Amino acid sequence: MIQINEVSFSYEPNGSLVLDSIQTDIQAGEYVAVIGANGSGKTTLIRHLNGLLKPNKGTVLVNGLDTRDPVALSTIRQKVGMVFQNPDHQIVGMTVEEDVAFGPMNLGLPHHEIRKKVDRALTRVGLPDYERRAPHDLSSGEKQLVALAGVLVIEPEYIVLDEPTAYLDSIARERVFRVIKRLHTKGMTIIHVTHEVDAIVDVDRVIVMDKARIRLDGTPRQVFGQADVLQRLGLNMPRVTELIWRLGNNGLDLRTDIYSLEDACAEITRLIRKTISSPSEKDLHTVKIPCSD
Amino acid sequence: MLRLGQYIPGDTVLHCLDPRVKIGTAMILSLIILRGITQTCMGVSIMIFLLAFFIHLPFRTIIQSLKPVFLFILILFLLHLFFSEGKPIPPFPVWKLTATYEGLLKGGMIAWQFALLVVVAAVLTMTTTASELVCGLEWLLKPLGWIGLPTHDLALMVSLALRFVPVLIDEFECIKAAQISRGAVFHRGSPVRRIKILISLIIPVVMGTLRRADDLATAMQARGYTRGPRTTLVELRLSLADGIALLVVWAMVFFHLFHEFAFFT
Repeated sequence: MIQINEVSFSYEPNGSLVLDSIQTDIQAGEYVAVIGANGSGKTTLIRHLNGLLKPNKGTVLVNGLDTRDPVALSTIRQKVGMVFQNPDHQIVGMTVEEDVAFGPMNLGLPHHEIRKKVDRALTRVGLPDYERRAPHDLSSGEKQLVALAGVLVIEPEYIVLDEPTAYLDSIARERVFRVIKRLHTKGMTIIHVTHEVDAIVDVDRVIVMDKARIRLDGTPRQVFGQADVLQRLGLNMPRVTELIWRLGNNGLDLRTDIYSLEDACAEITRLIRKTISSPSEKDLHTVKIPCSD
Repeated sequence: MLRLGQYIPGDTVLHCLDPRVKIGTAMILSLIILRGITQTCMGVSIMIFLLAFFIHLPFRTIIQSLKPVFLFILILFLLHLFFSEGKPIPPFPVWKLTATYEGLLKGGMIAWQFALLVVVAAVLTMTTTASELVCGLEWLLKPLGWIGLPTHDLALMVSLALRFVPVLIDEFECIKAAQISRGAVFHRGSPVRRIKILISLIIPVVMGTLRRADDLATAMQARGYTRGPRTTLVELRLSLADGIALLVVWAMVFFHLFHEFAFFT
């Protein structure tokens, strides 16, 4: 478990707070998505999780270890792996295997053990037989998967992803998301910062950051159900949710806590059936056709 | 792109040699080549010919590795040819130029030495991956660690520099394309103007590099990079072939010493 207790942080002493008394826990096995506008403190928050940044006030405990304790830091970084936004800025090796081996090399593991681990990590992200390839010959999606393998190889308990799909095209993005979700179903705890709200509708928990604070925290249903709050914060909501929300604004009698295509189909079908079986004045005449604004 | 002596995947004897042996060999050969003894240069040349012949090193690629330095070698040769004291070659002196026999010999020797140095280096990099090179280098630098130099960090710096060469070239091309599409002209105008416009390319590349270095440092830190003992991925192990290679090199050194010694007596 990662415990974040009343954490406040600013980059400069007496500067404006980038994190303002953040209080939350991340349970083992959870898939937590973190969303928020640029500058809301998402990246700053997750950089606290492996001690890259240390809180000015409050504590961050990873499995009970304090990130401010220099002795615990290397253990914490083994437990909490981190993948960054730009794959080109985090790959250090001249070949794929060498990059993936970077973590275990830092841990001082023996040579033959590293090779085994590297093979396993590359298989887990779906890139077996890539050992000898040069990173600059790979597509961005593959590069990001290599970066992910470089984190998996030290067998962390938590994986923190800082907008790992921001630089990818839609196919590569889906591929990376698939790998992440597979890791989660195998029991990995995932903390995932993203703007791709459509891809996180089925996670365990969504945290919405705004102006250095946690604004919303709950299941996707609870969070995306509050469409007007998201709208006010200038955040995207899943396209399906937005559709249903707009239809609702136009006077259709729909549930608002819908975020998956299946639910939306069921809800719209229900409404149509109801309308056909008992057409009421209201349903037939007051419905405006939804249009974009 | 950098094509000078680029690694060619393969599994020849040279590929399988220990990188330390290969780097050491290249260094020793370079040293004895620089002594400028005809017999030694001949020996090294024959050795390279035999290697190329027996293990099917692409001979054309070896010659190609000389292309970037060809002009330099030619200038060296011509300088020696025309500016050495000695007996003029018949049609000369023409105007104020005098080519001499001594110059011809000396220039030929220098050009030969220089070409050999480049070829030796090219054969090394053609048959050794960058990772192996860095790993071998790290081992060879170990003595510097005894006087307190951070050899691990040095090796990592070399490998990062090599890793980011293609990335930087990409970025350079990208910024250049952006400038061109905004009306910049790179290949015309006075030298001063060209330098000025080059600065408009260099500054964004440098800024980008600094930003990248920052991100990279964070990523490395997150993956547990600290000062201290690290293991390497490339396993350094001497085999029989390495032993034979070392023998051949020492034989070459003795051959050289014998001739250098004989030369003076």
